Amino acid sequence: MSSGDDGLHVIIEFGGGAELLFDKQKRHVVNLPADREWTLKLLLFWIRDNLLKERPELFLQGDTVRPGILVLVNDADWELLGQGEYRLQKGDTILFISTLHGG
Amino acid sequence: MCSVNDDGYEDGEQFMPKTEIAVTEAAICKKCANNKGNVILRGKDVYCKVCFLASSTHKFRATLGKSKIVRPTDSILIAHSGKAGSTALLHLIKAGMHESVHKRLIFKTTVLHIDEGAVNGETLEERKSRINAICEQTQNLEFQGYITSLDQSISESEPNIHTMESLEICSHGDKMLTDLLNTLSNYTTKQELLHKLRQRLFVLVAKKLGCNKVFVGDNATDLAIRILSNISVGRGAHLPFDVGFIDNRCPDIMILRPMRDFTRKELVYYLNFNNLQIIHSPELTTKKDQYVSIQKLTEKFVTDLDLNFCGTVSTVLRTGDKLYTEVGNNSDNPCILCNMPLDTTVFDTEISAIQATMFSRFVSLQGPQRKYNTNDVSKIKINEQNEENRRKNDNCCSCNDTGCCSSNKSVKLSYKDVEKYLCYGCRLIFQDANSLNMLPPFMVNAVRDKMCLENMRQEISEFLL
Ligand SMILES: [Zn+2]
Ligand SMILES: [Zn+2]
Repeated sequence: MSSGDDGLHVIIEFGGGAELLFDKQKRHVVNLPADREWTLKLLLFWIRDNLLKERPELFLQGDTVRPGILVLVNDADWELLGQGEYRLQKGDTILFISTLHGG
Repeated sequence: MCSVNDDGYEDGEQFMPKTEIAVTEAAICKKCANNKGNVILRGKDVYCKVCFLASSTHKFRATLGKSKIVRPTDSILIAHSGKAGSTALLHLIKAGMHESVHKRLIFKTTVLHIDEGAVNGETLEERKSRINAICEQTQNLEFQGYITSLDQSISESEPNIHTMESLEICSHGDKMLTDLLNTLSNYTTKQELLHKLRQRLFVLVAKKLGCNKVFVGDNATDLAIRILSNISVGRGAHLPFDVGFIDNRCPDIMILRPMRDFTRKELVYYLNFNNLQIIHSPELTTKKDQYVSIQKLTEKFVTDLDLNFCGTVSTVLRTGDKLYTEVGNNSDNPCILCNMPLDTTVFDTEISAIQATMFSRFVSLQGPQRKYNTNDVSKIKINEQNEENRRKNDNCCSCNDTGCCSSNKSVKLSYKDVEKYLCYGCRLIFQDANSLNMLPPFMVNAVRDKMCLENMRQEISEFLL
């Protein structure tokens, strides 16, 4: 991960059990390389390659998140933001929560 | 028929319209028509945070209120697993207790957490930290709480419970519980058994603490999954009790499901906006293959389908609500494990699934050479009858001296006897356990008591004749 000032600074959070796939660490402050325009879809692949510790199929399915994982960007559902097409902004908080646990 | 899909039926091609992803640059809340949207429900309804939270509270109060079942004099045990449903439930109740006088929720509450770490592969450390987190959360929400462990459900004696302040963790019953689970060969029956043991423990603890009702956190998504999996595991007859708002199979302790109108998605939104964390603990099938059990596969089926057809959960749930069977009215003879009226009574003229299963087992055991005809079915019946008679003859109570019934430990039992007191679904749980000393002690004892009672009844009836 490059840590230059020119990178895109975002906060990635995992909850609802999704953190288990990431060494139980819930909050990750990351600096994305400034070499491209970051969309949520690109971020998913970046997470898979850089943060994910095990079982990618429990996080991703094809080029989107696995059914049952809710994505919120700054408290708004990503479905309202164009899902994978959403362009990340500096300082965004992206939260991935697993809904696969009930009672 | 459900209104959501009526449009789909008209062209005769689609049953449920596939949800189109609404790419809305700045979706505005449909309720206040002012704020930017935060959540999207049913694939189309956009709400802001404020309106979503207000409607959640309203929905919860409506579920509790419309039945008029919950009264101010009630003492309610709230089952808190640390998961989304029960965490939101605690928060909603707490908020309700701080409402203005005429809207205030008034009833006595006690929180119960059941420690299932032993079967879910948690280390002692992990269990401690989970229980710590649960206790802290319960106290932060200003509730009184108790902890118990799932093994308390299988012993005969009253369950041991600890106050949350003591932060105690009991692991001495672990082995009994894991041994019991290990006798079952597949995860479908393991999950069924755990569910039944949990329900039993709710009732036992409620009795011990003097509570007359139990709240559980089952949500709409969970219940839609249970409707389909219940049918698959032979418990279709139990649907109204297993998924309805009210489960009153136990006459003195009612189990209620006040979160049944919330989907998992709504719960996650709710918790997130209230800064509430779920306290995650692994379950029996966590991180296992999706085909590991009927329940897990059903979960995948429902959640995958719901992603593209967001009416799935509510359609299944509303259809399930309408399914009802007249389970035999012998409520004085409930299943010793799940407490439902026995659905296994077969009348002579009836052809039942149980007979079919019996026939199939009979055929399989005979080997490939033999030819069969319908008379064989009656042979099975005759065999059963003979067995029955033979058993009655060497039953200790027919030698009616020395009052052997009073020391009921001396009644000779076989697995067949136990089976008589199990409903169809519970028989399937133990179908390959087949040995008495593998069964939970409370079941064996219940059968002993029932058989003694029956024998006594028979003796008395001889006198009366
Ligand atoms: Zn609004
Ligand atoms: Zn049963």
